Amino acid sequence: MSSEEPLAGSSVNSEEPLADSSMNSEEPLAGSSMNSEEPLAGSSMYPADHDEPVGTPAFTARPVAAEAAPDQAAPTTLSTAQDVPVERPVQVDTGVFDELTRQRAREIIARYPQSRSALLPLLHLVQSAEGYVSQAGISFCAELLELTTAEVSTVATFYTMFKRRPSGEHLVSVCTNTLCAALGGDEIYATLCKKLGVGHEETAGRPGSPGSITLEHAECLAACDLAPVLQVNYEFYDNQTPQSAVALVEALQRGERPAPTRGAPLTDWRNTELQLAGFFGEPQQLRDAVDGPSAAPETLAGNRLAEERGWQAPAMPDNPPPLPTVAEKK
Amino acid sequence: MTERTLTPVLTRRWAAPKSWTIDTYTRLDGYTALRTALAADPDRLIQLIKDSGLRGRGGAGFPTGMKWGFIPQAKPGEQPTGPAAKPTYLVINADEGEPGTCKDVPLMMADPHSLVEGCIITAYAIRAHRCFIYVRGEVVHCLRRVHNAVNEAYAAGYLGKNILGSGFDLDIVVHAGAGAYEAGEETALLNSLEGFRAEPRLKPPFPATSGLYAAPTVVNNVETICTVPYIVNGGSEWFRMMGREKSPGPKIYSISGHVQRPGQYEAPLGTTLRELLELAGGTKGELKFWTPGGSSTPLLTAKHLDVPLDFEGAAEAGSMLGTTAVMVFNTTVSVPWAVMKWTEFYEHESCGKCTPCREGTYWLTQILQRMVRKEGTPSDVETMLDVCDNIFGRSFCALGDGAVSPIRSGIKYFRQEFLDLCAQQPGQHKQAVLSGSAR
Ligand SMILES: Cc1cc2nc3c(=O)[nH]c(=O)nc-3n(C[C@H](O)[C@H](O)[C@H](O)COP(=O)(O)O)c2cc1C
Ligand code: SF4
Ligand code: FES
Repeated sequence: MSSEEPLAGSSVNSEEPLADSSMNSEEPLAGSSMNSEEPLAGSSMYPADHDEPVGTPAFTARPVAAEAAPDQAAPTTLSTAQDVPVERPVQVDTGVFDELTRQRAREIIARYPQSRSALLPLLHLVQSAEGYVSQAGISFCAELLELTTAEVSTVATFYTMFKRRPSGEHLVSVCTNTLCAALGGDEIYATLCKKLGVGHEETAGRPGSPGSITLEHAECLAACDLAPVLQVNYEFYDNQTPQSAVALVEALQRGERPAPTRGAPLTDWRNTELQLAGFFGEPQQLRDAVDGPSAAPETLAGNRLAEERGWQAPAMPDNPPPLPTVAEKK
Repeated sequence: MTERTLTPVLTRRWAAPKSWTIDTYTRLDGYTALRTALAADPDRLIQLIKDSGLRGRGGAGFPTGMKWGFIPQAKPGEQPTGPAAKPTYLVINADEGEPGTCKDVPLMMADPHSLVEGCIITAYAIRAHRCFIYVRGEVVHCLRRVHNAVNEAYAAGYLGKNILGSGFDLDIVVHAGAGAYEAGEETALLNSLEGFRAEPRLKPPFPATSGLYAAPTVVNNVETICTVPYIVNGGSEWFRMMGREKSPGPKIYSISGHVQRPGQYEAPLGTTLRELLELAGGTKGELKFWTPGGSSTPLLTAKHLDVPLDFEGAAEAGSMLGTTAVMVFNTTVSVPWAVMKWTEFYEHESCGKCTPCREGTYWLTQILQRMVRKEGTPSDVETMLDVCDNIFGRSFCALGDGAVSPIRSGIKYFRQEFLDLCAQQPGQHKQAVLSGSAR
């Protein structure tokens, strides 16, 4: 949605004051894309359908479900109150969610003492089924948890991982937080923008079709010692360069699935979302995925050095010492 | 300890083949502390952790034993009332998101069973029968490893009903987040876990009495809890052989950026940057600025090479220990640019609940972007400091305080660099200042 040149300068964002809050890009005062309770945040937190900017190259088609579900303008309280009665019975067909998905939803809810705790995993489940958080998905969660669609929307719009538009087969997230950026992350992101012809949270190719890729810049991914990093479907590709990143997305576009540096054999974004909802497949599948590599040389740097130099922590006593008695009180 | 070296305790198993499996874990002394703990009086376990001086590894450094001691417990033989009558919860903060911080993720990937064992011992000590591990959503491999470890622990009888015949029951649920830095703030995390937006709650009441589902709750960081089994096995005296009086124990320092060998280095608390750099093979280029513990801890410079990096030492130097995320930057990196990037982060992650942070981070970002575009004026520096004064101490949670750290410290040590940007004509040297990407 960032309509400006994605490649101006090597630091993409610096030319685009609002590149981060793409949802709010018309509203200089909205401040943060998370402020959906703010009257200024615009008429809809779901610009997916009717607000879709003309000329966005990303969206050539939308799935049927989205078509069939005239956007209810995600009733986020104040901002939508004047156009849409918040509690209007939602005429969204949740029939797109099959029995297996419903069964899984019930399993998720059963994990928690209070059903509402299931909301985040349920939204991950919705994404695994639909490729984004659709209106039907919002209604689905609302029905199951006996919440209003407004209550679900306000949560769905808060979290970065919940996508409001149909996503690609793969999600490529490039860390552009300071450390990675200084080591080349900005350059990698800019290169991929150009290569794919898209900006933040836009999709190259028809969403969901084989080889389609949604690109995003991400905040620190907790892998700074391996900077610059990127992820495909939240699996780590460490120590990247613009060249390696381009090679990676080209391979993805060809339908290949290069193995992550740390992580399980690559599947697709929707499958990862299913895992985030807590479904890892058959026990054997989980075991195989679990065994995907993890310990990068960086991870083990201190460990190896200690071994080399014969350094150890002070030795523990042979047996655990007796526990202390409880100091005064009681 | 006079000679400071590495002290692998939490990282000790990481290089073992398939370190994440229960077989490797038990072969390397795993689940031995659990047996000791389950045979003990829970109050004496809490006392042990108090005696050890263990402080929270999630950033704030709160004494862990004291936190556990705040959980209201019914007196023996009496009918519990008030909060003590409610179930107690243990919630693990595995939402690692502070820029620069990358210790919990490798820890959970390499040795998830140490977290599981720590959870069982902690839950037993605080009398919780439900534990939630809230893992940041973007690290699916980590989630997988923790999930698998929990499964293995159930199969081995370390979780579920009547653990090892002790009569103690515990269930662990692994929960994935959905991308929000603020969800790492402990009360926002509880809101998120309850299925709400990750906005913080007013304190008091504190989670110890009114946490998850308004019931008594302990929220601890991953590294904190992973340390617990070692203290049970080694005792508090052993633990205090590492680190310093008020900040005892080993700590995982995550060194990133312009160093020869970035990575995870576990050393006693109080280790200095000079020592860490030695371990990491020295800097790449000339050291310019660094953070002791993530972007929310004020920047330090080459003048601070000998600051002992523990809670007291970092504070005396005008910064904070934070998460011991040591990000090292050399002279190719522009301070105003780095500060701008971090401020963009805080702006994006501000939850929007309170005005100083929501509006302040927005406007600070605008000003910094303008400066980096060389369209700023010298008065912008004062304006930013003024905005910072209106955020710091006036925000609802610590994110706001953290957001001003890079700006205030950046200006404190590198004011001229901000002013120089203003002096330049628009467009001049643009590439050099914006890039920051020279390696
Ligand atoms: C904005 C913000 C983000 C935080 N993120 C994390 C985090 O990702 N992990 C963590 O353990 N603590 C985080 N904290 C600190 C927690 O609020 C809390 O202090 C900590 O989890 C307590 O555990 P500890 O005592 O074991 O350190 C964050 C705090 C703030 C204000
Ligand atoms: S300081 Fe205020 S706006 Fe910022 S994250 Fe905390 S509560 Fe939200
Ligand atoms: S800054 Fe990129 S992973 Fe931390």
